[in-house]
Amino acid sequence: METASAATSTLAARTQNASKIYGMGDTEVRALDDVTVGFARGAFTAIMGPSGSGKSTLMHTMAGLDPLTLGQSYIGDVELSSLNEKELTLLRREQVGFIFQAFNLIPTLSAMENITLPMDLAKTKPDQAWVENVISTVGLADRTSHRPDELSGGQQQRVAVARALASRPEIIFADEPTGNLDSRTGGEILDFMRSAVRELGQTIVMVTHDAVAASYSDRVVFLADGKIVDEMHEPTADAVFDHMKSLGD
Amino acid sequence: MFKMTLRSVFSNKIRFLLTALSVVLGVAFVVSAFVVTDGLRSTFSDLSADIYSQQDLTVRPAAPFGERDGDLPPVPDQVLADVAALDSVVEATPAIFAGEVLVVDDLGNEPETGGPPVVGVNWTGNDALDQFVLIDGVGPSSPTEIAIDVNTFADGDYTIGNEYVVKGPIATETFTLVGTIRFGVDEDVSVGARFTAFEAETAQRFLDRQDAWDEIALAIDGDIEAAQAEITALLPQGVEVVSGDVSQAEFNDSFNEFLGPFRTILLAFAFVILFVSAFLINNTFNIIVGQRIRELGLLRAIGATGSQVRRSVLVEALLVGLIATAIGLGLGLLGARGLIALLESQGGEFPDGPLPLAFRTILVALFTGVVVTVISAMIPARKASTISPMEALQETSSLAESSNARRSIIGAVLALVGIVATLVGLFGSFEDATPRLTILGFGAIVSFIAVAVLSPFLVRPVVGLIGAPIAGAFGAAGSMARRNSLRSPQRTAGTAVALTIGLALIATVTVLAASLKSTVTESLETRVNAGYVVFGELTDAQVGEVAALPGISETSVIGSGEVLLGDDFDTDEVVEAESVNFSDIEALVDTGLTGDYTPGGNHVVLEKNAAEDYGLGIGDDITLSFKNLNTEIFEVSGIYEYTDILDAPVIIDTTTFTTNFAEADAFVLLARGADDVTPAQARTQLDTVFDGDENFEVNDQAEYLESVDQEISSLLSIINIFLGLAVGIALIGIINTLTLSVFERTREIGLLRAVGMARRQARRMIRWESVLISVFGGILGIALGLLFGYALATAIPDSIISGVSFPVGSLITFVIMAIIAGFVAAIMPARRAAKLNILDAISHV
Ligand SMILES: Nc1ncnc2c1ncn2[C@@H]1O[C@H](COP(=O)(O)OP(=O)(O)OP(=O)(O)O)[C@@H](O)[C@H]1O
Ligand SMILES: [Mg+2]
Repeated sequence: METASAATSTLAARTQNASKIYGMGDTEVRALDDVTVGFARGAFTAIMGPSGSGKSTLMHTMAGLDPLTLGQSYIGDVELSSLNEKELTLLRREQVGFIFQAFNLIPTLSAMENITLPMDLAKTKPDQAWVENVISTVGLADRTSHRPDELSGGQQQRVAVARALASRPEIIFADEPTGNLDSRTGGEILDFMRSAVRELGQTIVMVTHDAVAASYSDRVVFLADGKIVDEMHEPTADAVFDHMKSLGD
Repeated sequence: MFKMTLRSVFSNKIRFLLTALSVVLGVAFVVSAFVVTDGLRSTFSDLSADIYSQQDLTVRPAAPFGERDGDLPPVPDQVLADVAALDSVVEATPAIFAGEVLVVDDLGNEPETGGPPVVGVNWTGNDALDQFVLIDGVGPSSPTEIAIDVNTFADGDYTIGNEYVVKGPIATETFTLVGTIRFGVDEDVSVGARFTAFEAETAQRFLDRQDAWDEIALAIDGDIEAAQAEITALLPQGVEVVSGDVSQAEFNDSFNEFLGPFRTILLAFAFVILFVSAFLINNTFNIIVGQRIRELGLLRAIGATGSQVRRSVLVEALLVGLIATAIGLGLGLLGARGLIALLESQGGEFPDGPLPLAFRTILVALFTGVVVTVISAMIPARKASTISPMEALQETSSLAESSNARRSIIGAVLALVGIVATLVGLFGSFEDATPRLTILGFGAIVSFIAVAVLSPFLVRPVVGLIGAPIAGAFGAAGSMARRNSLRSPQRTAGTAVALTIGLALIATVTVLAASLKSTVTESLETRVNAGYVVFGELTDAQVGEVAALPGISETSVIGSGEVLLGDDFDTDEVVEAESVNFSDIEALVDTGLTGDYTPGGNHVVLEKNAAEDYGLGIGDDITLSFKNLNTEIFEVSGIYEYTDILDAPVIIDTTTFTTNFAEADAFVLLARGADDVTPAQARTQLDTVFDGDENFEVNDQAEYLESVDQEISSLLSIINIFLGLAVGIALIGIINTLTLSVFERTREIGLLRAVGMARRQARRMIRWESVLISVFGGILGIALGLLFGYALATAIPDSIISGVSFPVGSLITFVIMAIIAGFVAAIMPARRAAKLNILDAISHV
C-alpha cells in the first residue's frame, strides 16, 4: 500500500464501474449505478446531490465499510474487494479517516484520547509533534482533557477532524460534517478542512447538501439516482446553488 | 398503551428471555420443592394407609418418650396368647422388624447397605394384616426356609430352591430360598426397604426377639373401642394398644418431621434464587427504562401521563412474570425428577411414586414469579414516570442516577438495620431456633439490600483499581473496558450484586465448614489418643476379643440411647445419653473431666455446655427417666468437655445403661495399639476380629478424621450445588446487562469499528468489561462472606466451632470462578458486538 507513489497514481481513491444494488426484483434499489470516479490526492472534493442519490453509499463503499455489488473500488492501488475483514479494518485504521455528521466521539474518552484512538487501537505511537500541530491548528489545545459531553457541537466536530488528520491517512471521508452546526461554526470547520488540504496536503472527500459548504472545495461532483451527472471545478456558492436548481433538486 | 407495551415486550426477544430466565429458575425451584415433598408425602401416606387400614388395633411396646426404637422392650409371647384368646379378636398377627439381614447371593455378593433398611421379618401368610404379598414360590414354613423381596431378588443373583448364607444381627446361618415377596399392595409405591422373611419362631430366634414380638396387628369383630378397653386391661406395663388410625397418623407424623426441614431447606434455596433474581430484574428494567427514555419522553410529550408511563412498565413486568411463571411451572415438574436424582446421587434414598402438582403449588408459583417480578420493576417504573417530555428532545439523554446523598442515607439506614438484626440474631438469647433464624434471615436480607444500595460507591475505587492492570495489559480495548465498566456505577453494581449475594453465601458456608473441620481436627488430634475407633453394634464377646488382642493395650466402649431429663413424659426434654466407663476412656480421650466419676453409683457426668444450660453443677441432683419407665435421681459427680468422640449431654455409667436399655449395645469401641507392635500389626489384629463385616467400621485415627472430613465436604458440596444456581443466575444477569449495553452502544461500537477497531479488539473490550463486573461482584461477595462466616463462627458455641479458619485455597478458587464467570457471560454479547454491521451501527439511533 505504501508503494502508491505519486508517479504511478495521482488519485488517492477511485471507483471503476461501481454499482451498489439493495434488494431484489421489485424492491431493487440501485444506490450506485455504474459510477466511475476518482479523487485526486491533495484535493478537497465535495459530493452533492438530492437525498437518496447515493452519496453516503458512494462514501461507504469507497471507505471499505460496505462492499460493492459490481465494479471495483481502490484506495491508492489497493482494490478493496480483494481484502478480508481484518485487512479492511487495518486499511481503515491506517489509510482512511472518518468524520460523520454527529456522534463522532467515544463518550468515555477524552478529546485527546479520541484523537489518538486509531493509533491506540493499532498500538502504534502517534507522531507527537504532528498531533500537537493538528490540535493547535484546530484550536483545541486547552480542551484536550475534556470529555465529549463537556464540549460544544462545534468543538466535538473539530475533535473529529483532528482525529481524522492525526494518523495522516491517505484519504478522509466526511459525511455532512457541518450538517449539525450553525453556519459560523460550520465555516470554521470547513476553513480548517480546506487548510489541511492546502497546507498539509491532505485528501478530503466531503458529502454536503449545502452550496456554501461545497464552495470551500476544489471540485464538486454531482450525483443523481446513483449516477454522476455533472461536476464543477473551483466552485463558488452561487454557481453551485444555481447548478443544483438546474438539476431540479 | 397496552398494545405498545406488548410490542415492547416482544420486540427484543433475547432481552425478554434473559429477564424471564431468572424468574423461570426461581419459580421452577419453588415448584420442584413443593412437588417433590408433596410427592413423597403422598407416597408415604398411601403406604401408611396401606399398612394400617386393615388393622383395627395394634399392640406394641409403649414408648413413653423419644423415638420408637430398639431401646423399647418387645411384646412378650404371653401377650399374643392372651389377646388372641379374646372373643372380640378375630385375627392376631405378630410382626418382627429387625436388622440387619443380608442374604449372600450365588456370586458371593451381599445386598447393599447404608441406604434404606435391610431387615428381617416373620412370614405370616396373612397379607391383609401385614401387607407382605407372596409373588413367587411359597412362603417360608420351616426353620430352614426364607423368602426375599422381589427387588433384592432382581438385583442379585438368586434362584428359588438354592441354599444361601444369611448374615443376621446375632448369627450367620444357611437357609433355603423358597419364594419371593413384596411389601405393600400398590405396586407403584415401594418403600425402598429390603426384606428377608422367616418362619415365625425362626424369626424370633434368628432376629434376636426371644419369645417376643415388635408388634401385634389385630382384626376386631364388633366395637373397636370396647375391644381396645378390654385389651388395655390385659396388658402388662410397657405394652400398649392403639387404633390403626393412631398408628397411621404417627407414621405420617414421623415422616413429616423428616420432610418438613427438607422442604424448608429447598424453599430456602428457592428464596435465595428469587432474591437474586429480583436484583437482576430490577437492574434489567432500570437499563431498559434508561434505553427507552426518548421513547417514553415522546409519549409524555404527546400527552401520556406519568402514571400511564409507569403502568406501561409495570404491565411489561407483569407479562414477563406471568410467562416466566408458566415456563417455570413446567420446568419445575421436570426439575423435581432431577432433584430426586441429585439427592439420590448424594446418598439419599427415596421411594418411587407419582409427583403431584397441587393447586396450592400453582398459586405459590404465580405469587412468587409475578410478585417478585412486579416488585423488582417498581423502582424503575417510578423513575420512568418522572421522565419529562423535554427528555425526548435531548440529544444524549440518560436516566438520572439517583442522588448520591439519598442513596447513602438509605444505604446507611439499611446497613444499620441489617447489622443490628444480624447481631441480635447471632448473639441474642432465644428459647427457640425459629425466631433466631427469622431474625438472622431478615438481617441477612436487609444487609444484602444495603450492599446493593451502597455498592455503586465502591465501583470507582474497586473497579478502577482492578481495571488498571487490564487497561495496561490490553491496550485500547482494555482501557475502554475499564472505562465502560466505570461509566455507570449503578449499572455495574446492580449487575454485580447478584454474584455478590451468591458468592457471599458460598463463602459464608465455606468459612463455616472450614472452621468446623479445623475444630474437629484439632480436638481429635489434641484430645483423642485412641489410635483406633470401631463403629457398629458391638457384642460383649467382640469387645472382649479386642481387649484380649496382644497388639491392643487399652480399650473403652461407648453406648448410646435416649433419656428423659425429668419424670414428666409429656413435657420434659429428651436427650442423648452415652454410657462410658471413665476409668477406661481417660487413657484414650482427654475428656477434660473435672470432679469425679464413680462407676456403679448413682452418678452422672454432664457435658460442660449442657450443665450450664441446665443450671447444674457438681453435687447437684438430676432426675432421669428411661424408656423402661424407670425413673431415678442421680448426682452430678463430674463435668466433661465435648469431643467429637464423646459428645452426649449426659454420660451414664455402663451398669445404668445395661439395666435400663433393651438394646444395651456398645456402638463405639476405642482402642489403642500396644507399644511393642507397629500400627500395621495392631490394625491387622483388629481387622481379624471384624473380618471385613460390613456392620462394623474400623478406622484408625487418620481414617476417622478423613471420614469426618468427608461428611462435612459432602454436605458442603450439596449446599454449594444449590448456591451455585444463584451464581448461574448472576451469570445470566451479567449477560443481560452486557447484551443491553452492547445494544445501547451500537453506534459507538460502529464508530470504533469504522476508525479501525478490529473484531478481536471489540470482543476483548466487552470481555474485559464483563470480567471487571464479575470480579467486582466476586470480591465484594467474598469479603461479605468472610464477614458473615466470621460472625457466625463466633456466634456458634465453642463446643462446635471454637475458632475461625479462612480457607484461602477455596477463596482463591472463588475469585477464579468469578473471572471465569465473567468470561463465560461475555461470550454472547462480545460476539454480538464484534458482528455488528458497521453501517447499520453508524446509522443506528
Ligand atoms: N441498507 C439499505 N437497504 C436498502 N436500501 C438502501 C440501504 N441503504 C441505502 N439504501 C437506498 O440507497 C439509496 C441511496 O442511499 P444513500 O444513503 O446513499 O443516499 P444519500 O445520497 O446519502 O441520501 P441523504 O442525502 O439523505 O443522506 C436510497 O434510495 C436508499 O433508500
Ligand atoms: Mg447520506
